[in-house]
Amino acid sequence: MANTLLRDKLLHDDQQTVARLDALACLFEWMRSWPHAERRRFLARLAECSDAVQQVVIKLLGVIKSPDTTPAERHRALMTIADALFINPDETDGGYGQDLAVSESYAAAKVPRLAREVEKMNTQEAAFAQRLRELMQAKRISQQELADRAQCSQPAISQMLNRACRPQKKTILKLAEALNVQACDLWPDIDVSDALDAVASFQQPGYVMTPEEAQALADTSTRNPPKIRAKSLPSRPRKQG
Amino acid sequence: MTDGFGLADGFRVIFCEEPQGEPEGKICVLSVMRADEAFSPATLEILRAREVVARERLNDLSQSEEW
Repeated sequence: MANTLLRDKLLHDDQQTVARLDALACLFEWMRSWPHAERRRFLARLAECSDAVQQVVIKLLGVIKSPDTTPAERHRALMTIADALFINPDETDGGYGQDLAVSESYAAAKVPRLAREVEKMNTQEAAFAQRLRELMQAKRISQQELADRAQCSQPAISQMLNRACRPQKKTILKLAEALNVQACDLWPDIDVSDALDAVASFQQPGYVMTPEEAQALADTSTRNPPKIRAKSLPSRPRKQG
Repeated sequence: MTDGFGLADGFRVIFCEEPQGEPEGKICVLSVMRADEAFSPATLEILRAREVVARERLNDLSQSEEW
């Protein structure tokens, strides 16, 4: 009787249940070659996850199983499952995901053009920190005072000065306003982002471009437009030392 | 990616963020892709999966104040 209730409650005779069992079969087939301990570890991780993450993992198993999936996509799906289940914590110092600075360095080592951009970014970031420090000294503004004016925290100012994090564009704009200087005085390439912000803003329904924005759009028309929403890269926490 | 700071032209950064103040606000980079790389159904599924995991962790960590 108990078995019947359990079966009726958990195993509905519907397409969804069939799909889930199919995914489960896929999972067990995949794990067949694993050592027993690894299977138990994997299943334990899966059982500990929330329903949402479990569904994600099962969906990704479907991606892996699909004949339309490319090897690169399969690799990404596997890496995503490994991260979702936190299978390899030792590789990330016990933290989740991958450290962005490490990832950036790894990618730069493989892609020369990216390496040049990373170097350029680091140079600009260093110049930003130096200019910010010089402006604060010249205007005799403390970190706390600047933080109050720019509506951020004093530790945030300290982190930027010490290059412990990279500022977002909006923060640079606030700092420039607080210091009564042009944003490009803090970060010279900020004009590039201004132009692209104009592209993003006119895409809102009913929005009418200003002449400056129209010019910015014209200036960027030779580039390939992004197919997804792109934004300034936010702060990047860094490991100290 | 042709916008903003941090990466070379020709790359996309796909990320989700928590709408908190800068720079304490946290982001999770879901993927970095070449701009000419197509968003195939499989890739979209992977990105959605990563977003679910990332958002869950962002929320969990912000609630526990361990982040």
